[in-house]
This record gives sequence, structure tokens and C-alpha cells, in this order.
Amino acid sequence: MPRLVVDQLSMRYPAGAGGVAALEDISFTLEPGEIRVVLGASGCGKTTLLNALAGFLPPSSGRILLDGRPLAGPGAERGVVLQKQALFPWLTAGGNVEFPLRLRGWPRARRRAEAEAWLARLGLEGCHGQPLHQLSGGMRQRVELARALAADPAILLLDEPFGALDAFTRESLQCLLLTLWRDSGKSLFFITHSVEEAAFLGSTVMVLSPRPGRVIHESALTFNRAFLQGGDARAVKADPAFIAAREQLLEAVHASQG
Amino acid sequence: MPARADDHYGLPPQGGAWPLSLAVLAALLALWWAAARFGWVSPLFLPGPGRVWRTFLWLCSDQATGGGLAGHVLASLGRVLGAFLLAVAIALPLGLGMGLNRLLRAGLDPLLEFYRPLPPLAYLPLTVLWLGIGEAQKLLLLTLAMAPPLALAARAGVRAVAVEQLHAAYAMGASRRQALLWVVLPAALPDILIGLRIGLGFGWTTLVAAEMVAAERGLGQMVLNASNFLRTDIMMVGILVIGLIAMAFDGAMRLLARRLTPWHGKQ
Ligand SMILES: Nc1ncnc2c1ncn2[C@@H]1O[C@H](COP(=O)(O)OP(=O)(O)OP(=O)(O)O)[C@@H](O)[C@H]1O
Ligand SMILES: [Mg+2]
Repeated sequence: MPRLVVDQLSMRYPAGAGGVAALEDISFTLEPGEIRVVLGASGCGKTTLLNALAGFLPPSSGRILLDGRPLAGPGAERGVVLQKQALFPWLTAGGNVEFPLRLRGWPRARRRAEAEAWLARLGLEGCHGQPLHQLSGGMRQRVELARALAADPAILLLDEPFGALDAFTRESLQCLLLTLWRDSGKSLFFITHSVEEAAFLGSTVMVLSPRPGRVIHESALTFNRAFLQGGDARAVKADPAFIAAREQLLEAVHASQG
Repeated sequence: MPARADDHYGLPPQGGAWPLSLAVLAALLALWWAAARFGWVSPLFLPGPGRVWRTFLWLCSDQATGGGLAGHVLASLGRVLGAFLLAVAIALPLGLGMGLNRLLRAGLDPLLEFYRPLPPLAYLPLTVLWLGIGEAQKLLLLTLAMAPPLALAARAGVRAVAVEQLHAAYAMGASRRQALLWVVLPAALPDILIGLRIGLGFGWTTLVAAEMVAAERGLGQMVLNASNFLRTDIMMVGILVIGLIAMAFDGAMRLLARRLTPWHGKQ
């Protein structure tokens, strides 16, 4: 399982006089099998960080190492679910999920069975042949997640993947993601605005300051493991220890706003 | 007008009202008929619908001179479709290349910028000088006329792909080739189909004009020749057939676009 090391990373955009500093001096390691959650105010550079990890943007300074070697662009071992919708409207929902399998030359029948299984797991059974414009925003978001999971990357980078979901679907997908995580041993890099989601999912939660984003807080949490042992998300989220951790994160986010 | 189920609130209403369209057509036809029947206009300038219809039937029969209407229609259609295929084969790859490659774009842009707005009739005499008035000249002229809209559409189409879509594809392990074939090209298809429709329409316009200037057969030649003999009825048949074929081209291309890119405009 690959390890992703971020070492004194700064990112700036060339726009404007002197450019826009989006991230400053970020260092962390995405350990194999870890869920690292990123919290931070809108515009603090979360998406920029994800783009750098995926290999879409080169570091302005500092390094990103994958198993000791600097990134050379994107790769299939780092899957993404992007904040802006990136489905292919010329394909059906199922066609989108089959896309990564088609890239690998899987035969049609096997591809189709795999795609249908992923869609079903995400609560979209029977949607294989649906055109995307007939799906709701939350359904499309789940198709994107299904597509990224079907690609089976060792590292999955997710940018607010549950943003458009109702509270109930959101929680059931959080639980599903944790189960899949346990069974696959993937590393997840997960961006969210929800403090509760961060506390529930994260092995590590990292809070960024407003732009230029720096790491101002990090906590190691184990509520994801607690859920996987007990199997009851509501119980975990109602636990006083969880509530305390959540409030502590919220405080860190508030403190970051100055 | 009451809102209909397929309207989106606030957007200008879609579609039309075909009974109204039919009524307007019928009214125009009646006016035309009346103008001829009551002698408002001399038949030399405007023969009535009945007369035009009989001329049409006569032109379709074998008694008509010069191979009849079918011969002219086939000559024109053959030219425009042949040149269309040639233009597609040349201009689409060039346009895609311009969209994808900075150097190709830099190299071809000045040429395209100059010759795209150039009316084909401006260089028509040159093509006659080079190739005479035979089929080769028509093919060259039409290919030149149709190529710019096709190239520009393909070039613009390449830009239609969202950067997120490409990013997602690369993060699923797509090679450059796969990203081009399975992401960039499908994303470009709606623009390309619009370009094909515009190109074909423009080619047809150019062809009819070119046939009036220099040709032995073809619908344009038929209309021009009829005017030399003051056969207004034949001219009217020619004009109607030219217009109907243009409409058929447009309809066929729209249908093709709806078949091939059903997602287009439904985001
Ligand atoms: N292409 C760009 N050119 C210039 N500045 C940019 C560009 N993209 C982002 N920025 C700036 O960089 C900063 C970080 O943007 P980013 O998209 O990473 O924020 P974010 O944390 O993901 O925000 P959100 O939570 O709203 O998605 C923003 O302040 C934005 O103005
Ligand atoms: Mg963002």
C-alpha cells in the first residue's frame, strides 16, 4: 500500500499581482490505510491541496512523494471524487461506472456486472441504463463515488463527496465508506465542511487556516473503528466522547477564523 | 399562452404551435393563388401555384429536355455530398488538431482567419481558371467553402471538455490516447455536429450560386437557364426544390444530432 508524503508544500496561483498564495508550508503523511479528513473554511485551499495530491497541479514549492518518489502527474493508484461534477453525460449512469473498467480492457459482461454491483451498493440499483440528466444531484454524486470505487485505487481523494445528500443518505454512505475502507485497506483523503462527518470518519482530522491555508490543528481519532466494531453510527455519534471531540474540532475551526 | 409541461419557468418557451405555422403557410399559398387567379401580378412575373405544379410534373416526366428535374437534382446532390465527405475528411482532423495542438493552431489560425469570412464566390473565378467548369472545379470550390465551418466547429468542440472530466479520467488511469478518444471526442461531438449542419447548408448555398456561374447541369443552372427563356414557372420549381432540399439537409442533420448526442443541452 502506497504512502503519500507531503513535505513543506506551498501552492500559489499566478493570477493577480504577485499571485495568490493558496497554501503555505503544509506537511503531513497520508499513511497506508488511514482516513485523513481536512476541515477548513471555504476558500482556504482544500481543493487546491487535493489537486496537488492527485498530480493535477505541480507544487509551487516543497515536495509530494509517493513511496519516496516525487509525483509525476496523476495515476490510477490515486482516484478522485471532485467537488465539481465530472461525470460523462454521453454515458449512462452505468456507463460512467464502467468507464475505469473499460480503460483496463475488461470484457463487457464482467464490466456490467461489476458496475451494477457498485450502483446497488450505493443505493442506485436499477439505474444502470439511466441517462445522467434524469438523476437527482445526490444520485449523480453517488454515481461519481461508484465510478471512483470501481476504479479501485489504493488512495482515494474525495472533495466533499456527500455535500448534496440528505442527512439520512449521508450517514448511510458514511457507514458504507467505512465498511469498504476496512475491507479494502485503502487510504482516504477526505475533504468536508461538516465537523460531525470529520469526527466520525477521520483517523486523523486536519484543520486548515483561512487563505493561505496552513495546518493549525490535528487530532487523531478512533470513532471510525468504534463504529466498525459496534456497527451503530447513531450510538457512536451520541457518545459523550464523540460529542467532546466534535466540539473540540469545532473550536479549532472557530479559532482558525481568528 | 398557458405554460406547458416541458417549459422551464423563466426560460423563453420551447417548441412552437404547429397549427399556427400551418395556417400561415396556407394563407401565403392562398395569397399566391389569388394573385395569379385575379391577375394582380402578370403570370410572366409570378405564375400561379397550379401552373408551377404542372411544370413540376412535366419536369419530372421524360418529355422534359436536358434529363429533366431528376438529372439536375442528382447532379447537384452528388456534388454537394461528394465535396461534403471530402471536406469532413480534411477539415475535421485539422480542426481537432488545432484544438489539441498549440503549434498546429498557431500555424493554421492566420490562414483560417483570413479565408473563413471570404465569400466563396470571390475565389470562384480562380477555381474556374485552374480547373475549368467541370466536376473537379465544383469539388474544389465546395470543399473550400465547407471546410472552415467544419474546422472551426471541431476546434471549438475540443474546448468543450471540462477540465474536471479529463482529470477524473486520468485519475482512473486513462492514457492520453484513451482520454482523447473516450473523453475529448465525445465532449466535442455536439459542436462537431453543429459544424456539419452549418457546413452542409453553406455548401448548398455556394453550390447553387456556382452552378449559375459555370455549369452544364444542376439546379442552379436550371434556374438560370429558365430565366434566359423567361420560363418563370421553371424558375419557381427550381427555387422550391432548392429550398426543400436545404430544409431536408438541415432536418436530417438535426435528427442525427438528436440521435448521436441526446445529452446535449440537458445539463
Ligand atoms: N485558478 C485559480 N486562480 C487563482 N486563484 C485561485 C484559483 N483557484 C483557486 N484560487 C484561490 O485559491 C484559494 C483556495 O481555493 P480552493 O478551491 O482550494 O478552496 P477550498 O478550500 O476548496 O474552498 P471550498 O470549501 O469553497 O471548496 C481561494 O481563495 C481561491 O480564490
Ligand atoms: Mg473546494
